[in-house]
Amino acid sequence: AAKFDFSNEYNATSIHAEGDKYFIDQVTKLSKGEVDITLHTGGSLGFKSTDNFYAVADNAIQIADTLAGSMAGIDPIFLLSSLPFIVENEDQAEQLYQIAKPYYQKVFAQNGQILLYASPWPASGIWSQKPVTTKAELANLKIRTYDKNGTLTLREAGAEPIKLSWGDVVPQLSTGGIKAVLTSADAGASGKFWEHLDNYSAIQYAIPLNMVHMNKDAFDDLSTDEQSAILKAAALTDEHNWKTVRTRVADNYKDLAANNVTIHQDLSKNFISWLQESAKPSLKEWLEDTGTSGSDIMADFEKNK
Amino acid sequence: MEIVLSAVGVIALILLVLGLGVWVFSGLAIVALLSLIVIGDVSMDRAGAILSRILFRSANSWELSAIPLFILMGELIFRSNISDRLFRGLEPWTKKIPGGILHTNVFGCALFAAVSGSSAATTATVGKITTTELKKRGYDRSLSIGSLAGAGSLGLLIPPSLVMIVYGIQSEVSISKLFMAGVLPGILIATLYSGYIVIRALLNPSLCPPEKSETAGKLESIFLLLPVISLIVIVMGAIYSGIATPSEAAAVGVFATLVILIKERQLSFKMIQEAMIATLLSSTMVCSILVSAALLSTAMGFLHLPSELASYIASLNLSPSLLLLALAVFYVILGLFLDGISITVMSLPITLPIVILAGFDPIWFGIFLVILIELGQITPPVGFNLFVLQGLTGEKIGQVAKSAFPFFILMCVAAFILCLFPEIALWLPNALSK
Amino acid sequence: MIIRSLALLSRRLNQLSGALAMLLIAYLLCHILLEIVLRLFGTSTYVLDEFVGYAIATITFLGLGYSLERNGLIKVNILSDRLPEKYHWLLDTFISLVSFTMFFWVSCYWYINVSRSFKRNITSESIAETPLWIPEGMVLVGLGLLCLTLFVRILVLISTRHAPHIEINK
Ligand code: NA
Ligand code: NA
Repeated sequence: AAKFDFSNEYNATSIHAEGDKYFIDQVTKLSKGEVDITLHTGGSLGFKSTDNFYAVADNAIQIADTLAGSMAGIDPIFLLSSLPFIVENEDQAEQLYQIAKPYYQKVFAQNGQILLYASPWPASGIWSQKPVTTKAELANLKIRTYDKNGTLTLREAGAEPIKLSWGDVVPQLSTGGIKAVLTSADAGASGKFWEHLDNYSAIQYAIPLNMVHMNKDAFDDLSTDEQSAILKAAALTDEHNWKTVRTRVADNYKDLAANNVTIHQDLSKNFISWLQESAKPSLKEWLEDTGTSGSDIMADFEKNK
Repeated sequence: MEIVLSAVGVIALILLVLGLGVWVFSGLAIVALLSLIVIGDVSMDRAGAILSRILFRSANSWELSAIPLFILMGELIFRSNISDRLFRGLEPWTKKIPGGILHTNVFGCALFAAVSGSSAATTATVGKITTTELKKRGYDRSLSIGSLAGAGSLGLLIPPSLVMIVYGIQSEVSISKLFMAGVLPGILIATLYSGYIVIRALLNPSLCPPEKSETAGKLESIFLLLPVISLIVIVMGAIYSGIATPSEAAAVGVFATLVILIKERQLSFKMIQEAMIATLLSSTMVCSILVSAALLSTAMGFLHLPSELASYIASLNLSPSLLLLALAVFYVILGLFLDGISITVMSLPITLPIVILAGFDPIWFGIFLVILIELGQITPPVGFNLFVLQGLTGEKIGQVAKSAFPFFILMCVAAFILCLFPEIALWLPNALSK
Repeated sequence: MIIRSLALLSRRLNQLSGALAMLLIAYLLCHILLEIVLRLFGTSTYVLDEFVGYAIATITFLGLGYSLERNGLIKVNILSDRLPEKYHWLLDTFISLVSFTMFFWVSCYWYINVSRSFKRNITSESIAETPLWIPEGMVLVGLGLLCLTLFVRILVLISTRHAPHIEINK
């Protein structure tokens, strides 16, 4: 039987690891145990998301679950899903993914890999001590962001974005070094943010994607039956993940409410359009970096959404 | 059983390669390569792709930056009269306590642990300041090295702590509560160590030479301790006010040391130069070993060794107390040759669910796990505190390990006490979070 | 003669890389302090953890050859202590050769990666968009110097039956 190592850097109960386990179960079932995949969660093999693309290309690992934005330095197309305020909900995020999929597949194919499935993050919002529902409340807010666009957008919007490693976030929250974090309700819940923060603003900043990609040689070495088992399992997992991300958000909100976190939904039009305005420079830069493929995707998306 | 054979094979390989006298950093890399190829049946090309990438990844780490900076802080203090003043200032307070200023190792480490998240940095910084002075004053070498090795590992148990952050993220328990839960067990271990030093000193007074009769007065001693006290206040203040993150504390520490040295007119170009050379040598030694230890961990990950051993324990369906015993043995064995953070991420997906199922509190288990990981820091063949102390003192690793052994036993005792009285860990977080 | 000039070359290069590594330690300190101050004023360099990561990787690898020449890298020596003194150079040659092979081999694979990063102009995904071949290349330089140092050590061991090393006043 073929033996593969599958690496992700998220903890075992994260939405990504759960999706990956689902995939492995499907493969085991469909290949009747002929394809044996071991999932290494928590970055336990030593690879981070930024390492995964070439680690898979070089067959160091055969499959990896990678934050798309972390591959932006390889091809700017991967920044698409983490562009701020492009999609408003999971339906649109899924639509955008389907439109952009051929472009993603092309980059993977050029580097000896195949794209198996996407693993969407629950939408990111603002976790904060005091409510953040207006432009004034956002002004000069010390907030931890997770990527370049978040930093640029929130700086543009008048906040004071700070880049910190994830490990430093909770210690900084507990000492008041930062007052807010831009992340999903899900990630905040797993970090027990409610011990330090009382508000969550569902600004629907972005629904970033993780991508699960596989080494092409390793795939080609499989028998036709095994190959189709992998592809079938990947299609099932894609469907499963897009379904899960919707229910996950609902569960997270229940969790937040149970821990006395006030969830701010239906934010004022003024506030949202201010944020969207602040995100314009990021979108513009991305369109310049990606040229026609970027504008084609956007045109297609605008037409269909 | 095949997996047990692999584990034994890897340990034997490490003993052979390191025992031959290969530099530790290169020896661990060689063992990683051989394990991948011989045991894991991985092709040369694939092994090259794996190891070269991990080499860069593990060195390219924000958390590592605390190591050279804390070492630099230690080197600067060592070269100034701050360290001498520290000991003269402590003498009047410790004169009547059996063991005298040997307790500086224990309390120095416990205090330093409150600003440093790693045990290597704690051992290296405190060790730099104390080993030479203690030797000069005629204290027993073995007791002095052993207490440093043992107490240095408190860096992981007393917050802030890198291992606790990793555990908290992996197991989704509150990092803040974990930090609080580590405080009392840390004090417990420090107390055990000091108690042991007292007993040894009472049984054999020659271990700790009597202090000179003309020690400083208590008032004068405060003046002597002033630089160290202000250093501690500044660094702790920076962390607990939120001005600096725990990872940035080392830079604050170096800055504060420089300011004090300038104010005391002790800073010279020659001193900085010597301190920099010594810092580069020590931090290269420590960081390169951490990097090649990461190669070994990755190789073990590809062999599925920690996870399969953990699954084996899970499959035994043990009673809660036997389960704890089995896990303790499992972590101590892995701790012989792997570093704590790797052990945590590789085993936790399997061990945590069975521990919770057996009814243990995940915060309590986190503290228990940190103590088991601390044990690994002072066991040969791969024990980071041992390596750091070998580098600092020039003693043979066997001698360092032998000196550390009583403190290993005391830490096992602490782990046992923690099992009997889980409240030692859980009382503080429960009391404070209400 | 050739051996002596090679030894001199490796010594000079290691002095240079050592000096650079020490400068980088000073840089680490300054960047972190700068970040702390900027944060008090509500701004940031936005690249602290990224650049500090590159610096620490560079310091570690540039320091390897330097430390090796100065006996700064520790060994365990359980078996070699039992070997008669006059054979020590043989064992030392053997372990130097094994280490050289190991790191030369790893360097070759890392070179493939660095040249790919260079040719495809791969950058980090941060605000700085750092070309990755720079930090990756610094690690390669460090590995190269380590290999050179080990190679010279082997030559010196074979020709003089003594390991070369530079004394430092600690
Ligand atoms: Na600590
Ligand atoms: Na150990």
